[in-house]
Amino acid sequence: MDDQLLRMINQILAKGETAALVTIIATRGSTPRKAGTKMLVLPQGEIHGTVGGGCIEADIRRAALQAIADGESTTGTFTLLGDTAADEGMVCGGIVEVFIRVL
Amino acid sequence: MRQQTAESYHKLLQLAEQGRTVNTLSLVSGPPKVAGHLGQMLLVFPDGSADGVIVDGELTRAALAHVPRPAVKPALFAFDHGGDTYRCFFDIAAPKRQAVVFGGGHISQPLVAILALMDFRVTVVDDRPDFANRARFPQATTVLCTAFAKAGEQLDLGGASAVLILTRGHRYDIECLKMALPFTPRYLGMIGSRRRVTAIMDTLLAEGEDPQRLRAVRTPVGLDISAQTPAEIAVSIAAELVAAYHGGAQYRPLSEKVFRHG
Repeated sequence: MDDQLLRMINQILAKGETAALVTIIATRGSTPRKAGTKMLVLPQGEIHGTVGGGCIEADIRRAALQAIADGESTTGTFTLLGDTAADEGMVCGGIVEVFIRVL
Repeated sequence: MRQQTAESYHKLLQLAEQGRTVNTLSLVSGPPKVAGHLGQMLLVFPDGSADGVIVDGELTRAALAHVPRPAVKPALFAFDHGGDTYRCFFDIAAPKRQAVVFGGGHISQPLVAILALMDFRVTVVDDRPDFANRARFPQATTVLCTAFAKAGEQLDLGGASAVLILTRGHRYDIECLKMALPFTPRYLGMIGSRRRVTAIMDTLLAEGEDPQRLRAVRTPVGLDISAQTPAEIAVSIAAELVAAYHGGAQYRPLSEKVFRHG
């Protein structure tokens, strides 16, 4: 993991604050980023790192914010196959599964 | 749980700062009874030992036993335990790749910036204080102002390192190359005109340097993209380095790879 991300996670935990660390755990088909890629989502919606950008990242960010609100870590599957993806010009045509770790 | 997470991340940071590789194993899904344990994480060391607990000792051992071998890349895996299915994610936390740039000249500046963007820890070495300073290389992790021949005593150029030799003169290039060769870095590149690099190679061969080791040197450094300016040359070097790190030697446009027009 990126040292900078690791430092931010430590700061968040030390201050007793919360956030969600999103990790791509599996991919199928063509996806912009591979397993192990991480993105940190703060409760206000700010993100650090990227899981590929575009609409899929927006969906994942939304799911991460929901997980923070629920206070529960979870997994989620997101697809780049939809019409929205094509409209956005993101036609990688893949599926990513992420683990959302609520810190 | 939160306390445990904080301790794990604290250890991960400490290890990363020491440049050590440590992998992690996290529980990502399981039966409802372990819902509160999702995200529990083990630190897994290169010698196979592990630190931390996933649910309990028994499940921890079961999870570790099911890590796909060889454990060299991130992997999601499932296993059955006590009639339930669990899934864990094995993650690799390799230390940042290192690049050492010899010479603080006009090509090194954009090159260091690009390498830093690619998440390398970059060390710049030059023997002139006007060139080896942080103001010139704000993105570098370390800037060493020392005689080139002395730098080898302070640096580890082996393993996954990239070494780029871009000094101001042929004499210094030879010094740096001699210093770097025994480390067999992942990527070893040296800039120079056809004449300059031929002369250097001939000298080293005449001195009894191993021809096979010399063949591994990428010189003149970079891909042939007709680069002209320092920034363009830096791009050409960085592109070759990317290919070297990802095991590719096929430098061709993706358009040629994808479309084969008659």
